[in-house]
Amino acid sequence: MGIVFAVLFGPLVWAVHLMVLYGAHASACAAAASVDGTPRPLIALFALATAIALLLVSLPLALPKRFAGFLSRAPDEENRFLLSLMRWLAGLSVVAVAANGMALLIVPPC
Amino acid sequence: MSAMTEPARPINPTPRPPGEEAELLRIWATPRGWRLPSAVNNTVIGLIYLGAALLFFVLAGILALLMRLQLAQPDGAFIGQELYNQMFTVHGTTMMFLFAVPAMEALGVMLLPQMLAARDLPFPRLSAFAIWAYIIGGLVFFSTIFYDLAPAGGWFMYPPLTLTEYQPGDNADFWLLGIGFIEISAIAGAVEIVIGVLRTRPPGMTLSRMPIFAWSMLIFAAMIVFAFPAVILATMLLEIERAFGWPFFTAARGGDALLWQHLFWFFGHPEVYIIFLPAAGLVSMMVPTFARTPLVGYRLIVVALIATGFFSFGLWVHHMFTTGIPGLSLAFFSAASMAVAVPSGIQVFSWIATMAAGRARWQITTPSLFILGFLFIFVVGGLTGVMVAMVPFDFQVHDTHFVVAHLHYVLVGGMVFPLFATFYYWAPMLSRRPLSERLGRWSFGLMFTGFNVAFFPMHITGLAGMPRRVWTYPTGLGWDTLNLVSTIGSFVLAAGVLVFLVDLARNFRPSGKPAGNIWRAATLEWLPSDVYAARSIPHVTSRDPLWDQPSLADEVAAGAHYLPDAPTGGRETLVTSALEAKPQYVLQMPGAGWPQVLAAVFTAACFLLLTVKAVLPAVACAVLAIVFVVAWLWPLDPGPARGQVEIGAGIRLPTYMTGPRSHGWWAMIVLMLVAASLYLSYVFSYLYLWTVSPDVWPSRGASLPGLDRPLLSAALCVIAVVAFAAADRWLPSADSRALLPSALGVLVGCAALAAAVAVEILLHWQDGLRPQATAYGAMVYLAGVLAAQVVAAVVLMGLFTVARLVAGRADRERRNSFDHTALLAYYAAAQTALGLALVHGFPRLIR
Repeated sequence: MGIVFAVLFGPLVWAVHLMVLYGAHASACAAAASVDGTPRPLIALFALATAIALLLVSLPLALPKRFAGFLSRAPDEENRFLLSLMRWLAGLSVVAVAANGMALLIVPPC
Repeated sequence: MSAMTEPARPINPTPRPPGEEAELLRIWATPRGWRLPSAVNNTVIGLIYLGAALLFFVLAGILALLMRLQLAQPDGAFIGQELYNQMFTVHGTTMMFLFAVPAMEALGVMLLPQMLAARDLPFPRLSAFAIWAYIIGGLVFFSTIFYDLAPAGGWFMYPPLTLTEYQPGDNADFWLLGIGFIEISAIAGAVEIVIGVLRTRPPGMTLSRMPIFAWSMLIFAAMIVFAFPAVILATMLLEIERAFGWPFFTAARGGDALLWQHLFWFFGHPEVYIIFLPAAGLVSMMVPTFARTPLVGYRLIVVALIATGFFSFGLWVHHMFTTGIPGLSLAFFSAASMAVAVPSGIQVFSWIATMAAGRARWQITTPSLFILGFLFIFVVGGLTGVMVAMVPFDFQVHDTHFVVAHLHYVLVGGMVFPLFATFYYWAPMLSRRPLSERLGRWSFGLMFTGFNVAFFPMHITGLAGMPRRVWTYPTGLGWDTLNLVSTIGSFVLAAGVLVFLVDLARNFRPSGKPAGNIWRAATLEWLPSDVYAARSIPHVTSRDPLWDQPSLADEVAAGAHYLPDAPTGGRETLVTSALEAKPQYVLQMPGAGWPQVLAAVFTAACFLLLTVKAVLPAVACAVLAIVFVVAWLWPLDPGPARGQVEIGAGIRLPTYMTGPRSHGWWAMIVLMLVAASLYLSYVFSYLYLWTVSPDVWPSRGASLPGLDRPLLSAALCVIAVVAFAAADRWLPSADSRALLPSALGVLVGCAALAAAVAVEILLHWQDGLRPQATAYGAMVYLAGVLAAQVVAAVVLMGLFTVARLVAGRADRERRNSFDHTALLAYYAAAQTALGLALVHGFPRLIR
């Protein structure tokens, strides 16, 4: 399980980030519609969530050796392969999280 | 050729003892004549599966031609409006549910064991059950078009159009119960594929040496595990609303029609990639062969497959851009929709790079032509996909023929062309002679030309405002000529398919002695084989074993590698570790038989009788289905009596395994992930309906049931867990008959779980809450229904386990049936407890 977690760490962070942002944002907009307001302060929280997600999703890129601990059970050749998968997936996830985050800056919330 | 090699290992002395191969032939013989449906060999049932999928492709294609005839001219009167509605619904449903996904699963069943040099997939009867259930259910569903019983709500069956107010009669129910049933069969196939890929690879085939098709099928199956439960829940909700009036989708009582769209598209968008990824995997297998060089960017392709699988779950809302979702949410899903183009692009560039890196000139053959056609069409479909991912553009073209063009470019380009390449490429693996190159080129030429002539004009008619799903249109809107061109193109496309069918009829002759590796490919499915698959299971040392170990085919055919014989005297294959593919044990597998076929027949009958509200006959069929499942499972779990056997090179392996190393344990974990995924879809639905209609949830000051009985239910769940844990400790040893404590533990555990659910449902009923009154009531009772479903499965499995204990077929060593029951019981307890927390905790939280 540790190996699966390490390799899929980036996409998992992306999934949680999207779920939290979409769920909280849709709920907030539904609530705001009923009281005729716009949840501006929430946007700051979403930006913070995005910053945290970016930080987390960058970890496999910045500290691959720490993550390699999860993969230590695998032989060297497999270890290199899995490490490479982990870093590429984390890199793609950085792009996906950043793309979601950028929307915060340019699109009206509700 | 690839860099990742290690010394090859001939394992066994040759020549092998006389009679060894004859014994293998006897054990793996395929039933013939009227007994053929009882077969479980993967090549046989895979071929039946693929044949059925192809039949549905042709049938749905004929419906498409009839629809194109109707649209060829303005004010067409060839088909009436109601029949046209039924035809586009059955066309879309059949193509998506009865052709595309089953065709890919069929290829998985047929090709994976050969690529992994396994003798068969680990649960051959489960595959056979899934296939027969699909064939029976599919044929009945399709036949509804002939007697005016077909659904007419479009392949995505949006409510409120599909509620009883607007679609009375059984038509929509045929879709809901039929498709729900077929999805269950798809999940059964997915469980088989996950375990097959992870646990039956040949020794030495580590994850980094796995064929790309195996990677793509692993991700395909994992996506089915997480995506299909959402649509199963959706079909349950809609059927319950239609049958019993629980208002999940009726706005007047707190429901919301958009809930259907969320659940449907949470399945529906990954579905596109569920169809595409295996096709991409097939292309990744064929391109290196025709380029005569290893795949460029193997790692990147694996990354792209995993990333596409993940990101595809974050795109579902892009089908709902015009439903009034907040702007920022639209932006999230627009961004994700564009992001998914990156991994798809990685694959396209890898294929082009492989073609360019080839040491010989790219070989032009029928399969390679279909691959080139795929690249062109899929890239065009991908580009229009990026266009519709942009919200303002999507607003303009939503529900127009532009979208019809886009989805056909993606699906036909992304799946049908690779599939036809596959037919031509892998036919020699099964058939005495390959398919005809001359007819193949004609088929490709007609299909490629016809497809583009048929669908490219739809981009223009769509931009000119022609809506989809209209049965006719007035003249003078600028659509007339383009529609006529589309119709002509569709018949050219059909002519290409017809040429292929003629080729198939003339040349495809399945045989135990097939034409073989005519393409000089590198992977294991091209090893010399017979009904038992490869003569011996090779030790793999690279990604392209047949290129890197030129003597491998001869060594394997001579029986010089693992398991050249049948040491247990029956069907068997090697189970290896998931990561490094180290041999762990010899899996004994069942052979041909009827129980799984009859179980499929009666399960299908049960669902179909329910559709026409024949409840008592449906119950009788359900009972019969259970009886045949028991007959199927009873002889399994053989126990450790055979001890260890030698598989070659002096390696001795056990013939039985229990616990987390056993393949059955892994299958139960996957099944529990399916159940958990379905339950999470329920939790999402509960919270979603609350955000839409908080007024039907208990308001501040409203009385709620006390916590005493939910706590009693929770305590019963704990008792169930303790009872199963105690039963585990008290399992009798093989030579003991002290089975009472253990059997009692299982029965008490089952009873406690059933009581926990009953107490919960009774509490709400006595409290006056009715599921028909509001969406809140419906959601509360649905938690009970879902818990009752899982608990019913635990009770059936518990009774089965007790029967095995009594019959002396289960004990402390021979314990797989107990372990699987206990695992599901622990899951059921956890799910019931989560349901209690949600149903009783959430209303208190929001008051």
